[in-house]
Amino acid sequence: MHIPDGFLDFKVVSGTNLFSFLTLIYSLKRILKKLKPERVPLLGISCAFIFLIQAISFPVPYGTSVHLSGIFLISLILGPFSSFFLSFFTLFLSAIILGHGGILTIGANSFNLSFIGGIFCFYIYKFLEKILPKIKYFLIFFISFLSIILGSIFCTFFLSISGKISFSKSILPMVISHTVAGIVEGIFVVLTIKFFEKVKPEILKIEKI
Amino acid sequence: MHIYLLLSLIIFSHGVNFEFFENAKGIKFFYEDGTPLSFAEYKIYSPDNKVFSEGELDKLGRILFLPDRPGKWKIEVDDGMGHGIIKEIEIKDVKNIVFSKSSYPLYLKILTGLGIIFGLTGIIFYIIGRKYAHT
Repeated sequence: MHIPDGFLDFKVVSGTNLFSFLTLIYSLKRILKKLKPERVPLLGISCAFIFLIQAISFPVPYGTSVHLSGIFLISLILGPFSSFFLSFFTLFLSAIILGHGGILTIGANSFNLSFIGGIFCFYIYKFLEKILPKIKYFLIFFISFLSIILGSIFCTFFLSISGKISFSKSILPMVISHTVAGIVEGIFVVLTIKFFEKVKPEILKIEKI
Repeated sequence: MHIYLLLSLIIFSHGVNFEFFENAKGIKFFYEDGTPLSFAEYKIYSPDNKVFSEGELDKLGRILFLPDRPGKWKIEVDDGMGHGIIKEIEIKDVKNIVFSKSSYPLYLKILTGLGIIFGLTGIIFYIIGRKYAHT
């Protein structure tokens, strides 16, 4: 899901970059407004976690390779806008150091990963949690899974409107290959949340920004 | 030998000739975990930015690259799932093609990234901490 430079056309690059940079500015404003010293190491560790987890990929069917995102997990711990900011910064680092994704496509990549996983899925989860509090862990699993699948669908959409691939031909292999990643991500997020609840529950009570 | 003779007869009968390249250079594309980009689509652009060759990589993610003139060649590989690479290759001599490899292994790149993140965290922590200490 890290789209490299040169794979998207001008309209997609400009549209997604505009959207992502406006969201980034808004996120930064929200974070800086309430930033306390004790929150800074948590942001750093979370950023390192996202960078690390996205750098390690594993093979899946259809001859491709996928990685976990960890963005929804961070949004559950630190909040949606913190998660978006950290993920955006991680994408920038991944582009310049690892060569994962491009600099000009950072808008599209941050939309697929950071916005969908960090902000959109966080509010979907909060909405569903109020209606269905009894199935909290299933919701965490399902929304984590959804964050990966939605990201892959938007990735296919951006590539197809840029004329790189055919949406109808690519969507099925894309979703099937990311289903595996989505299931692993869902299990991982649920286990991590359960681990924090048992070992250090105060982590989950941090203000969500 | 018999097969070659038979093949030659068939091909000559259609008025088409062929020859084997012995100095062809192969390129393999793979993900960082070593999985090949099987059957990913590729395009090779010549130095005048025109499509020189296009098609699919083989099962093991390989193609043969046979430039016919020196210059900056471009290879674009797309697996159709959001992964891909656009690699520019400077060809100085068509008889002696040298491909550059990534100079750093993945673990060093990851360590570099983590170093930057923790370094920046330290700087921000120091600035915010000082600001709070003064207030």
